[in-house]
Amino acid sequence: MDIEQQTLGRALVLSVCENRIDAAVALEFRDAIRARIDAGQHDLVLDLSRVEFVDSSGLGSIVGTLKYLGQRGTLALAGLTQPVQRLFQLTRMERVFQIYPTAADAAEDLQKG
Amino acid sequence: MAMQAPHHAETEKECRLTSELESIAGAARQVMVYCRPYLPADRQSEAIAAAIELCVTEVLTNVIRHAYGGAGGRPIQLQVKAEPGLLEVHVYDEGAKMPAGTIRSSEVDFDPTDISALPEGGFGWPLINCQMDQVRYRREGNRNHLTLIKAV
Repeated sequence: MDIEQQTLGRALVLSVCENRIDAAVALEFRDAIRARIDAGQHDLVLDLSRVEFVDSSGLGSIVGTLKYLGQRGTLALAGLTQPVQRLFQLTRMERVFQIYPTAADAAEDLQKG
Repeated sequence: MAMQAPHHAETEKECRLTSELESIAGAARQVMVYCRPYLPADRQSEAIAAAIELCVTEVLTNVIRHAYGGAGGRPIQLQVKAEPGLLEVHVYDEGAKMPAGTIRSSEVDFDPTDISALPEGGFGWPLINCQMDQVRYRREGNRNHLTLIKAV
């Protein structure tokens, strides 16, 4: 699972450099993000602008990450492509996450606290 | 002797895979390639193609995880049938029978403000049911036969 990371203000931006987050990679994806949380990174922006496809397993791993982080911090989502945005709408998960057009927008909002 | 003409103008394509999660992406994409020529030439077509890709992915994931219990190397067969105004994707496997009522699983209800109680699973069937026009399941001998039907 190829994930690039970059610090923007107080946010750690994690850019998923994969076309898909599906059942084949969902666990690996979840563990990769958890490792950052365990390392003390609690203000996260997940940049999904390169992800063209997420299935229910991928969605489950994103929700699982939000639950794992819990009260410790924030997990914002950014750059959702059309099919991914649609998945969040169909499952009504768009009501749960803070979703931003770009990672920079998300980081800026996090900065304001 | 003259060749017998096909009894109706139906097109049929098929592909096979074995039960590894890594094989799903390629198979779902192949189904989309088969479906594309039958999609309307407008903005709707991308949404329909995306719906078919997602639903086929969900079905194949279920087959591998539940019908085959995660075992690899087992056969799955996909058939795409196109009729005017209708696309059918047939999925066959030789795994365990699907428990009654599975395909009618309804949407998971949750409180968006209660993060600790959010569902992490159970999205698959509701996603299939809300995107397809009809879903059929039949146990045929030792095979499962699932049909996804989408009006186009």
